[in-house]
Amino acid sequence: MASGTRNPSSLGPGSWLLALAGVIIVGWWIRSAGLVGTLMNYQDDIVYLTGQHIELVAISGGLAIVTGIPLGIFLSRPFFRRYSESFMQLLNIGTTIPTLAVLALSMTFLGIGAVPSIFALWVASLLYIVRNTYSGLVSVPSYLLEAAHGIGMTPRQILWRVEMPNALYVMFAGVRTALTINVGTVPLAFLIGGGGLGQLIFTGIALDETGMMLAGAIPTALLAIVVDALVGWASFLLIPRGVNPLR
Amino acid sequence: MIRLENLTKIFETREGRAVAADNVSMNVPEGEICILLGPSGCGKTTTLKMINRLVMPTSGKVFINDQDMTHYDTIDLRRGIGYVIQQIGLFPNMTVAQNIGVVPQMLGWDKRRIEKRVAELLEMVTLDPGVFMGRFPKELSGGQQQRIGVARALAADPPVLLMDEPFGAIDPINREIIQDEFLKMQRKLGKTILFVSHDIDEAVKMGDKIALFRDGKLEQFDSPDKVLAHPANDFVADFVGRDRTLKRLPLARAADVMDPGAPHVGAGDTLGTAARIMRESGHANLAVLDAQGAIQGVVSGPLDPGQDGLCGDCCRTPRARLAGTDDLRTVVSLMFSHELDWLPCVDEQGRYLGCITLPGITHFLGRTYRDQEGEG
Repeated sequence: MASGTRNPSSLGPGSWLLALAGVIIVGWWIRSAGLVGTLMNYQDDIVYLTGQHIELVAISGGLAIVTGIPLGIFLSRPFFRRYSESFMQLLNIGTTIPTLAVLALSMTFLGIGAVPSIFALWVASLLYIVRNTYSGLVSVPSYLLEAAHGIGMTPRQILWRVEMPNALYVMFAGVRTALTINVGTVPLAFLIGGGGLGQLIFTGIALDETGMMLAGAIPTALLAIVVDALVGWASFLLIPRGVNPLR
Repeated sequence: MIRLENLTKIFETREGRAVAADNVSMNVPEGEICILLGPSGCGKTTTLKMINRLVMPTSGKVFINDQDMTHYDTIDLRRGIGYVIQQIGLFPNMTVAQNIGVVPQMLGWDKRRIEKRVAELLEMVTLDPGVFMGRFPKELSGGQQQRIGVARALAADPPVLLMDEPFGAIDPINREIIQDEFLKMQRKLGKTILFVSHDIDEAVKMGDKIALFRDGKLEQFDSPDKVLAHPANDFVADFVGRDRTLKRLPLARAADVMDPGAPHVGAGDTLGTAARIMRESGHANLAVLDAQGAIQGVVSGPLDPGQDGLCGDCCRTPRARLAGTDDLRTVVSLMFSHELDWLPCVDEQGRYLGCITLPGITHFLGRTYRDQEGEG
């Protein structure tokens, strides 16, 4: 449970510098290998497939947020507390199944195309969000709840005004992990006809064309970094100052 | 004001039934502080929490203002009772102003009224509203946080306050300060307060009444002086300690034991006069007063009746002097530190009011025991 509460990458200046250095090195390597021209050949494909990629991330990630947070809240309610650990175990087992296997399974039920891909990506992202929502909520100190009950808040007021704001940082960390992993998993969706940058990667591998492969891989990596930064930035802005360790 | 009637709480545990509170009955009059005192696990916190129903009583009733609260709505009941806990429990996501305003806001006060009330309360707990309103709890010291905790409990001006070891987590120096501030505030507000503590000294200092618990039973319910002077049983006597009579000292003021009729001499009287007064009155020390009635010094016996000289020339400056409002603990401490058994008491202008002697204190403290024997 504790591992879920840790942020995979922080917004500190050190990590930014590292990322920048990485981009520069990769850029230099691409240039010296004469790959810039090759990549430019795929410009239209890159733009189109990146759009598809983002669409898959947005839909599956959005669904995971919309379903995962309420599920996490539900699991943390006192009347469900005694079953919630077993339920979390079930979800854990769900995540140990490799995403490729989930894709294959979802294809057998839902056929090929975007729908089974979105389903599999949703499953892959769900756990991080549920687990962090749940553990964020149950780790709100009991004395805060006692104080809230004692001054006459209703259970709903306690959830919205005390529990959620105090769990928000951990919940955001879960969303951040889920979306970043989601971006990196989308290329697999190509295998069941879901589209996305995986098309360039896998075709590049199959044809032994490094340029084509990189035309898929580099935008995927950049997209993951951008998504991570965006969610990090949102958590910086949206979490109230009193409970935001970043401010 | 608050009346508990046979309040009982039984917890069903794996080891069987645990009686946390056993037929607790008591009556706390309006405007008084009642300290629920006892070792941990004695049922004092359970009893407190049954009043605002954080713990549901197994049986028994709570009356507030002679009104049976049993069927009163829980949320309304809690909003009408101030609640302060040891861990303070300020909401970290809210500013100080939002924390204090949370109950008025739930009660539907308009924004301006809440703002005014918040500023008023911050001043009451000696924090500058301009500085503290917009702060978050993590930007406050422990003492400041608990002041805000008290302010939050008082926000909607509830007649009743429940406090669960409110000053327990604050360092001893700040605890003294915050206790004094709280007592000063209470003198103005006159709330009816139930206050859980495990510290007998805090109970004696803060309480108008002490309710002493053991194993869920109320062992004694009395004024602090009664509990200390006449413990109801061996448990109470052990709990308040063998030095319990010393703990009664802070409860009395110098004015209570002062002898206003003690003889004194003028600066112009001769030592012979002083010697005669000493012999006749049996006092070994006499205050020497100047023409304005201010104390100039003290002459001490034994004196030779034939001795020459004026008292004003031969007196010693008293090593300490007292105000009538000093408590007896201070008085005795001064006597011990200066090796004296006599101290003069003066008013604000320095005029002599009377004297306090160690035998006088002993006599004062012993009176309640003699009364008891007389009854027996």
